[in-house]
Amino acid sequence: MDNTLTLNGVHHSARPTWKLKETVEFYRDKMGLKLVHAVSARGWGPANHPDFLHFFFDNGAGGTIAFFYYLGDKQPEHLVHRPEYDSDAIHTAWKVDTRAQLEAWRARLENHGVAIMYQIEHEVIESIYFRDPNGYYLEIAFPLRGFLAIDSIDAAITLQAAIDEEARSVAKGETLTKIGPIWRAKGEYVAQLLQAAS
Amino acid sequence: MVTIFVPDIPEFEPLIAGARKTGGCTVVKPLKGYWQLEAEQELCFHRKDLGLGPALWNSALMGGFRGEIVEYDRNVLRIAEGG
Repeated sequence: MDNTLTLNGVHHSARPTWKLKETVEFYRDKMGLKLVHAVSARGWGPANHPDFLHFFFDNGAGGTIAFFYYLGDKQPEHLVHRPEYDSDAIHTAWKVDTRAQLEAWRARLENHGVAIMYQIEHEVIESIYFRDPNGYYLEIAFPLRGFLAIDSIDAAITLQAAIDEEARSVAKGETLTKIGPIWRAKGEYVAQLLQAAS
Repeated sequence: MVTIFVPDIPEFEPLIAGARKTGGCTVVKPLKGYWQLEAEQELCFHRKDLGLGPALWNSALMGGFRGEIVEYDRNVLRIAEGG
């Protein structure tokens, strides 16, 4: 495997919108992100592809957040964003470097009438959460610390334990619904790791 | 024997500090990046004593454990031998 092959950040992440004016005003004016590019085109590719706009806002570090707006397209029910935990799992979390910057963003958004849903310190970051006019869940986070070597080691053991425990449940015709069995499986893996080291 | 493995990361320092004050709990310094909290029969922690918020309280066992969870509500975590 070529371990020298890496990615260099995000060029753009993209979502559809059915609120052109509100989306432009939110990202450009309320958030103050620079509109850096917009494609306007006749539909091409799939025969049913509408004419469209595809526009990009600078969200720092050379990356953009982008939207597609399909002319005359009716928003399908399955793409209406539901404000629930599983839908909100799809979100963008931007990074700032200091708590002061996080507070400044909070103040800016509130001054523009954007409701901050909550501000919370959780695990390795402190974040504010809010929504855009599409209902999309947005986060700005200040890292409390960087990732350590143990974070990566621990993550690998956690996911191996989860994959193995889920396979055991499937083999028994059951559905794994609780985290406890994963933690217990992981405990055995960690115990083996420590035993090998001692 | 009951064991909780705790990754050696800053946000779990309150859990380690709390364990040091808990009678019957042995705190073993990190090996391979994991603290070990050990007890013969049972380990019991109270969230408010540890000063953990909901995110960390609900991931307090994320490093894995040996034993059986007999109580884990909003304020009490109790693991006993067995399982």
